[in-house]
Amino acid sequence: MKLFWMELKKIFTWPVILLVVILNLLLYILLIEFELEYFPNGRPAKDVFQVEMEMIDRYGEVIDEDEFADFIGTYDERVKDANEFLQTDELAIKAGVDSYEEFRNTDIDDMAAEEMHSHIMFELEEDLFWELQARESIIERYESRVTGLEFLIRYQSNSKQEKERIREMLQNRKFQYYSELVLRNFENYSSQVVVIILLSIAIVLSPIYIRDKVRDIVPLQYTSKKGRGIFHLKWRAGLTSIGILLAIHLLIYGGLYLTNDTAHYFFMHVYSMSNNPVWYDITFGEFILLTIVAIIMLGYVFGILTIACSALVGNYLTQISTQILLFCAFAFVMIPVGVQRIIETMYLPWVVPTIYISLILFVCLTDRFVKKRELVKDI
Amino acid sequence: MKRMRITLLELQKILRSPVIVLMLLVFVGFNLFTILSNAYMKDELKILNQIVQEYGLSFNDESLKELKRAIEQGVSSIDHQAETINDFFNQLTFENYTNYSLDDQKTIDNLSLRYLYYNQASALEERYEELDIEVIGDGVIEKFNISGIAEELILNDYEKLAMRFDEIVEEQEYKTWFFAGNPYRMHSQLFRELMSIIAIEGVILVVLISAFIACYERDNRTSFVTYSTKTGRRLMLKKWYASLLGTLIVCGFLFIVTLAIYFTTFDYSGLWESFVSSGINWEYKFPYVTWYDFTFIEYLGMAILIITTTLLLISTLTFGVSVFIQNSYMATVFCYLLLVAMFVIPSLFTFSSLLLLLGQFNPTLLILNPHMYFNGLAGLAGSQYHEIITLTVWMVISMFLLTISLKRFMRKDLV
Amino acid sequence: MLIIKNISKRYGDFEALKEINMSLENGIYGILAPNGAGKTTLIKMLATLINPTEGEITYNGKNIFQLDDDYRDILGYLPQQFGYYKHYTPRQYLTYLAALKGISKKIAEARTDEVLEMVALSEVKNKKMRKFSGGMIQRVGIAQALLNDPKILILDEPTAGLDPKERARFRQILSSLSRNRIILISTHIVSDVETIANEIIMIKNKHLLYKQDVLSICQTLEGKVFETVIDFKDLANFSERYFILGERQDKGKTMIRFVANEENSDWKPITPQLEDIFLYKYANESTSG
Repeated sequence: MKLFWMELKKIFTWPVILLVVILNLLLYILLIEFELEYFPNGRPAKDVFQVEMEMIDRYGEVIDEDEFADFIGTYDERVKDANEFLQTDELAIKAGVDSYEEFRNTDIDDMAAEEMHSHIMFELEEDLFWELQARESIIERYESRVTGLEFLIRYQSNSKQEKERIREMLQNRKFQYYSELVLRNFENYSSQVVVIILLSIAIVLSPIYIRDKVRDIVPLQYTSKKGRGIFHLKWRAGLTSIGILLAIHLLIYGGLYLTNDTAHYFFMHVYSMSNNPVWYDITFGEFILLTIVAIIMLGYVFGILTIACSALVGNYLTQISTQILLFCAFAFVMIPVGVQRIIETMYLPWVVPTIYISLILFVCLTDRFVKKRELVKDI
Repeated sequence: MKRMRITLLELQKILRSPVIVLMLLVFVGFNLFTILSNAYMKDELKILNQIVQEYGLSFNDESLKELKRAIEQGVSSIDHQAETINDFFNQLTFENYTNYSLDDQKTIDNLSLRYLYYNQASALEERYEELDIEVIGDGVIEKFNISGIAEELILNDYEKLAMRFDEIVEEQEYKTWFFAGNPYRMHSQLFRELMSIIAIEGVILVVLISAFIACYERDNRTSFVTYSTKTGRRLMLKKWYASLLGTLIVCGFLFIVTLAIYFTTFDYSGLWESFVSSGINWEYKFPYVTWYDFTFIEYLGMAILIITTTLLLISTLTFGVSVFIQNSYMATVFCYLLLVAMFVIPSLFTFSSLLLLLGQFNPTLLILNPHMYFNGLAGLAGSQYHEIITLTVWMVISMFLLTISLKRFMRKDLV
Repeated sequence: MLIIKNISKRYGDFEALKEINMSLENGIYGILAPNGAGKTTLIKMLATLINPTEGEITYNGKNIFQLDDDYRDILGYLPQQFGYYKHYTPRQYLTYLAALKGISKKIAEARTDEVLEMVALSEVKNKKMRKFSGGMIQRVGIAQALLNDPKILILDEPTAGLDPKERARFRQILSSLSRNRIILISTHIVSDVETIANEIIMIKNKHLLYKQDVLSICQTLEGKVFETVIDFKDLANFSERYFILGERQDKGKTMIRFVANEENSDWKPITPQLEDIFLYKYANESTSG
């Protein structure tokens, strides 16, 4: 146990911790901050988000015809408010606009109307008109919920299975009632987090075996009482470190995500808030858990490959280069397919599970190979 | 050659490592993929070369008239009823189009592309008249909330740029043919996408090579043997030359192979002498208003030169850091993070206009924006001498750092 | 002539060497000292790898740090930990070092073969060093030190990892080279230098203890080294009073060799060996490593 702690301490040296902290700060600014600070991003996204929160409270996930009529009623009332506003607004009077209907149909070439339009929308930052836009987009989506899926079957689906799935959704009335801004934000956010986690793992674990090789103390260790057990000890310390890094990152970035206040959506099905159809009828909350599991798996796969690489190669040059290539492979293939679009019907239903299974198999084989090689290797 | 012997031997130590070669190949493969994923438009682009061949590289009212006449003739040869070109294309629905013979379809494609160029070219004069450079400058100041000295500097720049803009208009520099910026965006594709990818790949390799050359003896625990030879610690200097040479080799390889693929895919044969400030090359909100009347080939050369120089500078910077840290792993990771920091940190300077402006002069931003070189309308990075100032300042900084760390190394106890 | 004048070395508060003075002429010098006595510090200074805190080292009247490459040009140095590039062959490595030593390309090739022949590595000169044994690596190290036919040859623990046969061969090489150069061998194995060194240098507690030929050093204990046979049970008692140099068990009796300032008719006086002086002088220091 004492040796195990010593190996852990050797992995988390101060300079390495410092580099990881710097990495996190920089990439937080570069990748994460935007998804937190600018969520929902701009208008009317912000207003859509507000209206939807209200809707979830009132109607729940599924909006039936009565509830929709209620929603239209609210919309009409808001239009009335808008009319009243326009009738008293100076610029609107000047432009000869006295109803919301006219306001919507103003001509861009009409200077006075244009001035009034931009004044109300951008300078006054009057929420009402943005809110109306948001409500209109929701109404539009509701009205086209059936034709939208039909359109997907006809023009956009890539495979037989996808067509079948969409037909099944149509049949069981699994419609999209809400915008996908929460879902997309989460998908982007989680893939940025994966990038940070993988880079942190790479920085911390790359030196795990090479550190000793470069100092040439390996023969010394192998002839000591503990013998080649040191290799396995390091391996376990490495696995523990991956766990530690994953836990810390998931806690921090998970906690930060909660500041986006999307808890309202957690118990809704993913299909009710996604433009792209998905294979499974899971809720957004379940989807978040699935993503976390996927991140943990990817973290371990990447981490074990990093450790294995460190055990196999003889110097840092080779290690860093392989890490860069490995990271690129993950960033360009694994993150989009295995995290961002993990349940979307874009890929055949077996694609993502197969990728994960083969990754795990590959890692197991690597593990066996490296350990076997280490047992018979001449020092 | 005799003087180069040690330098070459030092370089050899790193370049004989198969991973460097592997990385180069993977990178070139990636570049090839990037180029080919845009290759679908290469045939459409060829039309422009025909236009240039027939009407010359620059255009004027006369040649545009000729072009229009030719299109009209082409149109009437296909559809005798069409009175104007506009009429013809307006009534051309997808179904109509498929009713024509394949040959006719080709001619129609050709004509519609020519018409696109004609339209864009004849609208330019008006579009350029509408541009007010100083108003754009005010917009930049407003957008970034600039005040104080920085504001004066920017206003001064835009005043000068306005003069240069007038020159472009007067000399009709903008009236040269180039691939239509909208929709093709070839300038962005080549310089913004491809060149900055090359630059990033270059950075990845150059930092690795420089750090590992600098720490090679330490990593292999051969310091005592090598630094007690006649060459002694001057070896470090030769190692610096070796990393510069390595930078040039890596750069050369990436540029030559990638650009060779690019220019065999896309036909630029008639356009080498076209101006980057061509109005046809108008891609986004503004056209490219270059401070100097660079032709395409000159601009390409300058971009390669700037990126290569920046990489040499990054190599020097990395080398200096590595001599200081003497731990190749830490030095490499540190330098990568440093370069990322140069990208991130200037955006945090919103509290001070001057810092915000000064923050633009950094090597990372320089190599990531080759499409904006010498462009006056490049936001905060548009001043006339932006590239040369950035390079000079960082050359001084990196040489200073290198000198300090070499001097320290020369006197240091090697234990 | 190499002159070491009043050399001291401090690392912060730690003092590694204090006021060392000596001059070295052509011949073989053996530096005998346990690890930690400061011999590697002294040797690294002679190799210009570390700077003295005080004092200076001159070669033919000129400071070696000012002579710089002119000095290192005539220096051959084998460090205690001899590093090498694992994926290089001895030939590639020596050719590289020849370049660093300023040996022209034409000469370098022949010279490389020559020194590899000297250390009996010709057969493996094109094999990668990754697979070499410790002794083979050490011989590559000796070969590289000889590459530039140095006027000053400094070898730090050169026999580490060598088997007895290789040691003998090594001593032979050194003897043949010693006529017109300064050879400095640091070791804690007395037999390495006992027979071939013209002079022995001993450093103790950061100070120079001796710099004399083997005979004169041995004379410092002349008449004080004895041999006798005692019962094993008396050994503890005996070792309290006298310094034991060595012991051998024989049929329940113990034959011991020791230092005493008195005489006894039961004791047989014997001629002191260098080993005896070494053990006696460093009695209180660890000699491990």
